[in-house]
Amino acid sequence: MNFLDLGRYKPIALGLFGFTLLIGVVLGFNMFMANLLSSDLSGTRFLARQQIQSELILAHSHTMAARLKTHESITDSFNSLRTAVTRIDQTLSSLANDGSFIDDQNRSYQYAALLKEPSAGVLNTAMKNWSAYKTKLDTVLRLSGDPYKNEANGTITLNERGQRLALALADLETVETAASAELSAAFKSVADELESELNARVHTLRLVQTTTIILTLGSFLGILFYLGSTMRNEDVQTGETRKETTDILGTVNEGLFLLDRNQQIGHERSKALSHMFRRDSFDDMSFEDLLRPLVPEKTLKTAQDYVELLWGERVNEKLVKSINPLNEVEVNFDNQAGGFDTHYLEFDFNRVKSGGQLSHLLVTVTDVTKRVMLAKELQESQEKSQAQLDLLLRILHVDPVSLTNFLSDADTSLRMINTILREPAREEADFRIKISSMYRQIHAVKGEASALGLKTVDQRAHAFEDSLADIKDREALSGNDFLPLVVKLDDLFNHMNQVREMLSRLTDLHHAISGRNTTADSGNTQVQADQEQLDELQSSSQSDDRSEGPAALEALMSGTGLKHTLESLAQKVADNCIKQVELECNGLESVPEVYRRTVKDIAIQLVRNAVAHGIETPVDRLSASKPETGQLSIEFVDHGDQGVELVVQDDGCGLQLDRIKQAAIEHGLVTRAQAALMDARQTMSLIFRPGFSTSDTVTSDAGRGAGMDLVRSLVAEHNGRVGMSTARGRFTRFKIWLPAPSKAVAA
Amino acid sequence: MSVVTTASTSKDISRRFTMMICDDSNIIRRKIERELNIDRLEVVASAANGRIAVETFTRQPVDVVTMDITMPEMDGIECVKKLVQIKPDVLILVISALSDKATAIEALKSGANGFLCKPFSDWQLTEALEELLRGAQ
Repeated sequence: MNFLDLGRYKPIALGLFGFTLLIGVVLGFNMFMANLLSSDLSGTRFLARQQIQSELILAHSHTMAARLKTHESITDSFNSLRTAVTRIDQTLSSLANDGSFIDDQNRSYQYAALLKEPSAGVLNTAMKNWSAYKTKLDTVLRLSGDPYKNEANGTITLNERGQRLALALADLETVETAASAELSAAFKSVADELESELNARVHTLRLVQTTTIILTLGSFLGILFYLGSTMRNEDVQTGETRKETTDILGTVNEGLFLLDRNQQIGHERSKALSHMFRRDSFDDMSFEDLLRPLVPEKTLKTAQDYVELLWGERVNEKLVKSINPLNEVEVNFDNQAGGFDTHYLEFDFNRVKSGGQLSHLLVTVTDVTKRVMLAKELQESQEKSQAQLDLLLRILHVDPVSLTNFLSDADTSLRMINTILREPAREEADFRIKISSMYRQIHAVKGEASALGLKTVDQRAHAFEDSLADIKDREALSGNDFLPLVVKLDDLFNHMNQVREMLSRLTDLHHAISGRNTTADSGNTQVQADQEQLDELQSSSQSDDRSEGPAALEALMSGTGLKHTLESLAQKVADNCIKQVELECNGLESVPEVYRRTVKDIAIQLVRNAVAHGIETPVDRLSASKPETGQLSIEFVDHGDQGVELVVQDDGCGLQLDRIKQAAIEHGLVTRAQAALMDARQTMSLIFRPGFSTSDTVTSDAGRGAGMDLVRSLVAEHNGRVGMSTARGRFTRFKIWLPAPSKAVAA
Repeated sequence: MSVVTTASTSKDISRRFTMMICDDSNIIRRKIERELNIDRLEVVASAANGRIAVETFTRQPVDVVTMDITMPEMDGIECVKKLVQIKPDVLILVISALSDKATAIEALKSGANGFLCKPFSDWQLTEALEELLRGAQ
């Protein structure tokens, strides 16, 4: 900074300089005046002394006259007289000439005032008088030398010079008293004049000093006023600037604050910050204190490293923004409803340099929740569209029977899971059973969906499995742990409905196309082809024609379709178990709409169980003197107001009570002691318990331990009843009674 | 291949820089070389792993290095440390997939100057390297 570049202090410096200059000038003037006054005083004193000189002349002349009479030495008086005369003459001449004089210490004085009246007149008169007086004095002074002579007789007498001197002195005496008085008066007058001059100067000095004091005080007050005014202006300006800053920080939507090198949050912060972080005070907070409650430990550590990185000189600020770990942070805040609000915050860091040195990091926090949510929605929407398209394409490619079976099985499994979730449990063991039961169900759904290529179903089932695995790993379980499963299950149900809806639309589309084409041209080859495909699909052929799906659904939805489905299922299970079975269906066409789904789900479970567990293998049947092919019958009877009845009967091995007990013990459903006390009826009821299975391994047909429990829950939903009877080696019969459709309870 | 290393530290914008590409993927190495569009930056060497990069750099201490993180034999982080030891004012741009930000930050703490995320476009590469060179002036 330049020495003269005083900036805003320049006026103060100039004021002080002026003030000092004024003081200096005044002091200089005072000094000058003081010297002048001192000189005047000396001059006045000198002139006052000149009055004495005239009296000295008088005294010396008298002394000389007296001594001449007594013949004493007059040398000293003579010399003193000469000196006094010379002094008066010089002084008076000089004064009369130009108003100046030189004192006895050779200091010269000059007063213009003495050249003016009345002093000039006094001096002129004095000069004239002195001239006359001096003529007589000069006569005396010319007679220097010894005035005595020694007579022969040894006496001393006046010589000629002495006599003349005596005469001169006598002559002098005639005028000297008057002349001396005049001279004395003249000097007094001049001294008085000088004194009045001195007084005038003293007055001037006093005036100047008073003025100086006033000016000094004025200047001082002026400077004070200027400083006060400047400070006030600066205060106002600072206040305005401060207010502007406060206004900006209070209005801006971003959270702004500075971080110092120790990662401490600065004092200036935007108001939005409080709202964003749900806190009022950030005093003495470090960046770590701010983040720790909000982000995982790993993110916190990475964020601190990132901030540390920005303090380093090596890293290019713009080239590290992409690795900012806080560019989209999910934070959760408790809300008043007892839950929490999720927000997404974006932290941006900018280096702040002061004097070329990195002084702070400016942190800008933006609430990007809307942006993130929109992006997520967009992504979900895109994924959903893509998934629907994928689903549609998959459905068109999937074997209709497999799809039908899958939809049926998956629905059963999901309902089973729903039942398990709703079942009350308190003990840790109950929770563990619930988990394993659900795990089996969902795993089967996932496996089948995966096999069929239904990716969207597969993903959802997988997500459900993940949640289950998460709960399973927890040490202590409570009912609340199962809540996330309900959400995921709901999602799965909805998705399965979407699949069904899509199938339904495809069926409608197929009908519309085939109907129009039939009307338009019955001979059209395309119509023939469509009709053939429909027929083919309705008979569940293995054709991969794209119209399989809709046809399969249609089949599923009708009584004929249910019969077909059950036949296919029985055949599939029989094939898997290497068994032979013949299914006979009666009355399925008359299943009321309200029970269609329930009857289908129950029939599927009972058929699957009958084939898997009831019907023996051909070898066993032959050895039991039975036909190789097992007989399975399903009959639906509508009793009008008395309700409806579904009877499923097989001619298999019957329920094996010992095996049921053993399986129940193995699955932890009952203790060995409890099992021992159970009668046949109680034992049979065990097969309706969730998680019960007599199979050691889980296949798509058995082992999940959910089928009969599902039957029970479906019947219970409609306030129905389940009856069963069995004879070892001969048959098993299930009778499902449901209330009349008019009294049906909506499931 | 001869290496001309300019030792000048002046703020001359016409200063020429030599560059080495270090990436285990031949495709990425060729992509960088092909898409590099900065006249004053000349690729004079390339390396398929950290060890080769250090050896090459010891013989030819270039001005700029693009560095992958995950590489066989010697990873990018270790390599960055060694290169900075050899030539403290070397400019290193880490080019890596952003699977883990902590790893990227670790590389930068080791002495790298900037980061470019894979996959990148030709203009992103050029912009990042221009920014890197601006920081050197």
